[in-house]
Amino acid sequence: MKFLLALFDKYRPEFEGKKGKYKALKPLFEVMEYVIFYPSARVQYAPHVRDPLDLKRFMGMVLLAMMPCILSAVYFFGPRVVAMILVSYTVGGICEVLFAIIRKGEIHEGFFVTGMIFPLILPPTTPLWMVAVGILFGVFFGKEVFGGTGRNIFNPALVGRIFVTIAFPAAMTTQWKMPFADAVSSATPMSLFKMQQVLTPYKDLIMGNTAGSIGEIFHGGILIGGIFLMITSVSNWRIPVSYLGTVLIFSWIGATLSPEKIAPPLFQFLAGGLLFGAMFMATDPVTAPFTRIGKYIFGACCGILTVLIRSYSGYVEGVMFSIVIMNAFTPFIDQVVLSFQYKQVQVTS
Amino acid sequence: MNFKGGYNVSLDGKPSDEINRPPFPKVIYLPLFSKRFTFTDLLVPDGAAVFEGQALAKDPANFSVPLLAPASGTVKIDRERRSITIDNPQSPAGGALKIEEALSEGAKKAGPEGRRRHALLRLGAWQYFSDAATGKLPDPFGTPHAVIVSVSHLEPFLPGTEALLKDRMPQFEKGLEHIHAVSGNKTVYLALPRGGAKAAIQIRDIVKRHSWIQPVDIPAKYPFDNVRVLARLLGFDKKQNNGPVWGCSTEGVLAVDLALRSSKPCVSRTISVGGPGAKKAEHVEVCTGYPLADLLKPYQSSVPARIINGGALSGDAIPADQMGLDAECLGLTLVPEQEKREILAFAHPGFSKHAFSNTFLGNLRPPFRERYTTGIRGEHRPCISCCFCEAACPSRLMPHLLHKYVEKNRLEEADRFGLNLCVQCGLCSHVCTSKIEIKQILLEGQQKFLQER
Repeated sequence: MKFLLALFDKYRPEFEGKKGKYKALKPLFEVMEYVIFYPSARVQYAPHVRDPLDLKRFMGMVLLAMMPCILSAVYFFGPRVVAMILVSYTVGGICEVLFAIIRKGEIHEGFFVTGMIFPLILPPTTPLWMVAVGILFGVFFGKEVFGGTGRNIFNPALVGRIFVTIAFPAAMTTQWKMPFADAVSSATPMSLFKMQQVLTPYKDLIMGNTAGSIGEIFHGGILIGGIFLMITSVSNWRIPVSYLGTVLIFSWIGATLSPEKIAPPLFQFLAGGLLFGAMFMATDPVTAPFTRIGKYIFGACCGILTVLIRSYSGYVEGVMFSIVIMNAFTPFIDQVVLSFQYKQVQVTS
Repeated sequence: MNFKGGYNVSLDGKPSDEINRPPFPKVIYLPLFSKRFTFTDLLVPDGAAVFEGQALAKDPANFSVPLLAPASGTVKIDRERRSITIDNPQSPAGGALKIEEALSEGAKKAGPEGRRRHALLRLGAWQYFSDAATGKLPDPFGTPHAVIVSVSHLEPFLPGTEALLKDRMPQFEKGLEHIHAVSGNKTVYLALPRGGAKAAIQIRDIVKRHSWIQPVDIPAKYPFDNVRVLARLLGFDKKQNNGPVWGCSTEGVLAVDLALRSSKPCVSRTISVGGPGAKKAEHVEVCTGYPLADLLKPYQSSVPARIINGGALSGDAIPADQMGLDAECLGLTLVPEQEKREILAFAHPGFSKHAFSNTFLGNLRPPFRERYTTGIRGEHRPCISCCFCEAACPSRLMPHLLHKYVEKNRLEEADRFGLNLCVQCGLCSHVCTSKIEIKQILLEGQQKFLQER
């Protein structure tokens, strides 16, 4: 490894400063160096000791939690899934690198999560060029135009997903496939209920024996991954708990009032993209409120919107719309909560 | 009381309860500055002969708090290094000062009550006190509303209660009685961490003997020993108009006893020397101005280490030109400089790492101490609002929100969200996943806010 460090040390001057030959490519060089070696920077100001958790580890934990989804997707749908992930990483990665170069900034780790989530929420038959278009749109309009990681308002993966849903409705809503099957166009549990009021058995929903987006059908694995994230405190438990709790309560009330429109709570919980959305996308700290009460409000509103869109709109699934709609309200929720919380401080200070 | 936040950094190199008394130094370097004070008014000319306990300089901005000569000898003033040197000082006799001579004309006219206050200030005990609202030196002639005595230091590493109070329990009790008398018979709140060993049991006995001591149970978690945090939790910030709240620690109580019972100048300090970069970790009793090089020699190893004045979280690195122990130093913490770059650090299971979050396997292990270095352990990134800083903050602030307001220079808003309640404990910067210098940004914001007002 010493030889590798020597190599980096040798070529670093070429990428740094004003005179470096390839100074424009500095972000690329940095990302390679810092993935392998810890930065050599030392603390300047107190405190002189720092916690070992950095964003690389933080995002790495999210990827680790998504492993059950990724592995099950590859198992269910074969090497095609790997190709989709690779396309998503390559195209989105190029966009991210280009913007890092233009901004003379760094390449941020958040991209590794976005680039993984996006293919996982696509139908298994999505053509590879559509994956490329979607991730490009998501990264560009969902994140980079707002200024990159930490400043984006919407979840970039969801922006891409909504774009391809609206741009290519046929490919995104009709071309479903069962795991291990060759035949295209089987219906997802959500559409089966919507069209025929058929409830898929819970065992199939948990084990992933249904049609649906590649990463979100193995609900047992998502549940494990989501709980892992909450235990490691990478994701805040308040959002998934309030989101899923609201869906359960709201659909329980709805199912008793109009059972032909609104599916029973446990089915709502286990079918479609709800678990994946609640565990991995609504919890994105950048696009969710930072106030504690705001998190509950955010989750509850997401839950109500999800049940409403699922039951009363032309769309079969409402998770992605609900999260993106609430993303837009995030700053507003925080402002309202803060103005109530800090009334007292304002008087005393 | 509802304690929220706080976090114990499990740093390696905890000082033992042993107290080492190194030989008296051959030369004394007294820095003309310390954490809160700058002694700009020099009271002695260059080359003057001074006696033990003589005031050499004072800080006009802080009620003329004096800098005392720890031993008799001839002074040499080094303006460039901002220090006073005493060559070949005589070993201190440890005698009492003739307090009548030491006090100024004005002090003599004051009654016995005022005389006690003057003695505290003159003999160097007053500088152990702080105003629990601001952290600054309180007015020595003011009347407090209450006194908070924080018995234990919870930061890694400052002197331990067991070491400080070894054989000094009677002095501690007398010191408390003096503080009670000086404050005008006000309630003394004694903050003591839950649990604790021998000293804690003896202190609880003292509490039982005096009705004016109000015990305050605090969790053994940094920084709930901080008097500013305690004052707020006790609800004192809303009663400002009743007068200030004084705060002090065990060292302060012992200094008050020394000054008021035996009229001796407080020029000797028991400090801790420890940290992951120290060869051994213990307490040392030395005079102020003790040469740092001599003091640290037995503790430094071949690995270069940063010497921090105070604890690893709130202390600052000792400047290169500081030669001797300053008048406010509580402890020296040695943190080794990061030299080796870890390979694929983010993918390590982390059995030997401590984290605020549960993202490393070290959190599943039974308690252990980690050998931290000065590495920043990550790259600077924009804030992602993970809110770990909010979870760690003992003052219930939202550092992630505040630092954004300060960076955008919106100080009025930052103040509205409690910028000035920050006590600089450093936990926000410690836990930040994006490695933002939140503590430093908030400190600069506070200073800027005060200037603009």
